Amino acid sequence: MPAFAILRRDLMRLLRSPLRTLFLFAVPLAMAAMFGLAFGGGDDPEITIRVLVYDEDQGLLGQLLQGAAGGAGEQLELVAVGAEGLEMIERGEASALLHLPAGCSDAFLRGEPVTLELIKNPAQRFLPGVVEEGTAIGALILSQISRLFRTELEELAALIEGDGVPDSAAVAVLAQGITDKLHGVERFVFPPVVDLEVTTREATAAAAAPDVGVMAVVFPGLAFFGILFLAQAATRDILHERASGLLRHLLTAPVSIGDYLLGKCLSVVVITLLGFTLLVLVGAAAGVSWGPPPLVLALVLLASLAASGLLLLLASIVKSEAQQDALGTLVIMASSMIGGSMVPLSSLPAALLPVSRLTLNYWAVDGFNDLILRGGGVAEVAPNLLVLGIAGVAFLGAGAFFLHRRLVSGVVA
Amino acid sequence: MNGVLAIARCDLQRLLQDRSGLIWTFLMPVVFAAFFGLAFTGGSDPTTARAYLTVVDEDQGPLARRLVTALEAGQLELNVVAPDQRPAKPVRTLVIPAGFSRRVLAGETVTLRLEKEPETNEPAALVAQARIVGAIARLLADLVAASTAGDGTLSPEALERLDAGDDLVRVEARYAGRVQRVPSGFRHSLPGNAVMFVMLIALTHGAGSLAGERRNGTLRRLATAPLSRAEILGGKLAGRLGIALVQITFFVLTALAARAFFGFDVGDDPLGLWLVLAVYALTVAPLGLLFGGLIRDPDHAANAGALTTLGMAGLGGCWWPIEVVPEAMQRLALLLPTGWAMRALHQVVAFGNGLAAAVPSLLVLAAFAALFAAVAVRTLRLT
Amino acid sequence: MIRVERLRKEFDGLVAVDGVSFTVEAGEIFGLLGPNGAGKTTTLNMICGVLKPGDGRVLIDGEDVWAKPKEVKRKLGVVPQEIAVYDDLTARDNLRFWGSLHGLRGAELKARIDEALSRVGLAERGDDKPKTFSGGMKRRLNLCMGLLHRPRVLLLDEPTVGIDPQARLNVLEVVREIAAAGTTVLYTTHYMDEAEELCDRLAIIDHGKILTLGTLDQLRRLAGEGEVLRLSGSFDQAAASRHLAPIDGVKLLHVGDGDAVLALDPAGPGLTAVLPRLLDGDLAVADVSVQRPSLQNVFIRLTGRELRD
Repeated sequence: MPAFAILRRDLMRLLRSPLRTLFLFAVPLAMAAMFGLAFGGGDDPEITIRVLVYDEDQGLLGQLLQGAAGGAGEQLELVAVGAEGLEMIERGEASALLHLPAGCSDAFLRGEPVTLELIKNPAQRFLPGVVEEGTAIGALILSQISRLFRTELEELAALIEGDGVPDSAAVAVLAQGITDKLHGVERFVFPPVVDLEVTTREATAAAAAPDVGVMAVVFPGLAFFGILFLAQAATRDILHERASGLLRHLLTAPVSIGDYLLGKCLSVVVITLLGFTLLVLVGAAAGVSWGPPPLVLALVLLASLAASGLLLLLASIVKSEAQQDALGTLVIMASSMIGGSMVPLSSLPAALLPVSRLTLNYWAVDGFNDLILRGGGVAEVAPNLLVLGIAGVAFLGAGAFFLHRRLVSGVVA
Repeated sequence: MNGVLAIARCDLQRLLQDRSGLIWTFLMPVVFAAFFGLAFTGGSDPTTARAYLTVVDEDQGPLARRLVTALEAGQLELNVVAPDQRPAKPVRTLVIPAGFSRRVLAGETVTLRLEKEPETNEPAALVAQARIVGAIARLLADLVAASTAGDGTLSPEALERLDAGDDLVRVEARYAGRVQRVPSGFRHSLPGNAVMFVMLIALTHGAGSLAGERRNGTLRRLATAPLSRAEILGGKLAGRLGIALVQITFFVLTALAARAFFGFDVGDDPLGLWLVLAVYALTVAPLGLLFGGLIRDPDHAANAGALTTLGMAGLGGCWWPIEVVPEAMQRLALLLPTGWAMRALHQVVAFGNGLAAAVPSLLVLAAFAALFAAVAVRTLRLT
Repeated sequence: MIRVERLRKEFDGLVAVDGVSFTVEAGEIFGLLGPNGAGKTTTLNMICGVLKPGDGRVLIDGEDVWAKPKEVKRKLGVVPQEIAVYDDLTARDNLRFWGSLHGLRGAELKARIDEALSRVGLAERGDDKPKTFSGGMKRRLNLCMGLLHRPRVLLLDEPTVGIDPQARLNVLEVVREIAAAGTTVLYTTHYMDEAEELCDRLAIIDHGKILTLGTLDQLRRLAGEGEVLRLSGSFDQAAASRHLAPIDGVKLLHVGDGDAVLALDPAGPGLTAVLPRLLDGDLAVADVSVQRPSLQNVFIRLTGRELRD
């Protein structure tokens, strides 16, 4: 069977030039490694938010805010700075700088408006927003304290400003007033009547992994991205063989163009499939729990089929290897961007999602997400399998048909 | 000197003949910058990643409405649904349980549930969570205020009468640097992609074509021309630099066009952006020669160049904001030219502090350039 | 014009060129003939200044290549063995680039390009890229690039490898024209007939050493006036030696299992007298061929081997 001879030859060529083969897989692996390196294997964020505190006031507000910040946990790093902090934030050495202007505690005690200044690092994308939110909560609490304990604060201010030792009777009255008012609000605040519990959505199927790391989210997308490139390299071979005269030579053997194309389709699919399998194994070694093996296998098979088909179809409409390089790369890049290979589907703008569904990447990545992240089963991935399968068969068929027509007219005729 | 220019011109001319090379040099950087700029410009606050939140309102009461209002002010991509309309694949879901309003008003503790999917986008999750906590704090504060105002009884009506506008302590937030507009997604995607693609072209196209010239004999033929070795190397270096400068210029001009036609916010200092990238190009050009000189096979040289670029781009902070990686990784970025280029670009693009503020980083880049050039010149064999 | 003195080059302990010396006079076509791997390209590379000699020196027009590389290289045109052209630039762009390296520009450059292209018969294809060319056309473009700046000395390294007879004739024709116009030519080849047809003088090189050097006539005389006889059949080396060595009027050049080469002594009794004695005895000779004196014979005489194409 000539088709199998062609498949065998193509596989041998992969084996004979190991370095070239290695490079074919290197890009998705390197990108996955980078994600792993940058974000660690676990799903606990190791992010530290560094905030400079320029406390010109050195009074009550600074202490209150420090106390409140203590509850924010280890992720918050407060650094006390002087005026030099203003330059540090200009150099981008922290996420934000909180400036408590001189006299702000006194103003607060007197019931005058107080404005705290928060200088954010514009080069950072996320953390300054978190700091701003946190500071706003702090300011809100301070405002409520001010509103609630207006009279007591004024008395406190008078006590602090007065000379000599405060009158103990006055202190006792003040303390009693605070206690009474606290009593009135404690049913809301101690403990807060509204509590927040954060749960990472538990997998519903038993097979799904309990702790999914960053790899589990990025790896399937990157793997499919790499597989598209692998399919591109494999299909480009057809154009190369035609241009270099190898195909003409091959046809001097008792082989028809149909045999040849069947063999090439077979080798493209097998190479892609082998590549995907390899990446799945590497992913597993890196800690990705792919889910129930039969479903993973089906998804890998059909995704490989679809990727092969797409690139074969592209190869059938371009004129040369250079065009295949250019057009193929554009298609791969665009579909990987909007299909969830580069930006997780959960972070894509909502407006892009309908377009995203037009890409093979979406159906492959979403299928893997169903298995890995959502612990889905047959029912969840069935649509993905169906779409990938139909697309694969249709693309392969159309690609082979067009190529056959062109080879017959271009090589034989 | 004429020889240097002739060699440089020839390299540029050859790039223009290479369709795939052109796409990667000119089109891809723009497409990437535009895509990631738009993808990460979300909600009403463009600084944050998209923090999606689906709110399932099982309560339908006045406090739930109040909480939703507070969340809306919290700049999230909010989607409030009834219990029977839960979307199939939500990113984050906040569930307000039935009886929430009644029980809170009665002083009972009610737990809201935030369900989220495991995800990479930890920073976005952090932002979302901070905002939910902020909204709850606002609700609690209102409860306290309403219960202490008037006759001391807490009712929905008392809440309605509250005026939240008179908070005594306010936070005035602004950005460091001279840019007083809210930074857009493009201010992050422009530097990152420019840095990555300038290096990518130098290390793939540059390294590959140099190795190819050695293979097909043109490099040796150059050695027979009446040019000194320094002139030949200078010409090759100038060629790489020229290509990088054309690429950078195209990139910056496209950004300016995007600003003119679509109103994209691409920063206030395109000249500064160009200049920083030009200094960076000085660093990258000899690196391309180094790869092309050390690796014999053109394909392998280009592949190794691509891998190196991906590594340096990822670790240098081109792909994600460097603030979100552990500190050890942030220090690692300072061993790479990409890390310093990003630092310089942040000063110019994000802070708007002008080229002067970027000078320390540019000096580091110049040192990298000298080092790479020295190694490249030493290792490159023409024959 | 070219003076090569005691050139020597080793690569990793392997001596590639071993004490090569020769001179080429102005306007002369000098051939460097030898099999593949004899050291021709290494010698040429040292002459044109891309490979530093391990020992010895090269003077072009009285100047040392390594002392004044630029001045010397300006006088040199080099046509390398590999087709060193940019496949992705048009022929004209390739020439324009190369011309500009030699300081040509403007109208002069354009005129030279047109002249060079038509000289090698590529005038029609100047605006096409070499990747669309046939092997012979690429060779001609390769040659063309070495001629563009009208060098005083032209070094050609096997410029006819792998092309069809027609294109080969064209290349030889061009080289002859160039030499006729006064250019000194150093031509390396492993084709005997090319060397015979083209060169005024030549050196035969093998294993990095010059075996002999002279005009074509001198070399032919070296081969002997007489013809060379080649015997083949089913005999072994020892038997052949025993039988052939004592025969008068021939000189045994080479003997192996099944073949033997003999030179006919011009002063001897002649072919008709010798031939019966050769075939006499129990040596099973199947075939005898007689060759006129040629460089091939010189090479065989010097090395005992045949110089194969």
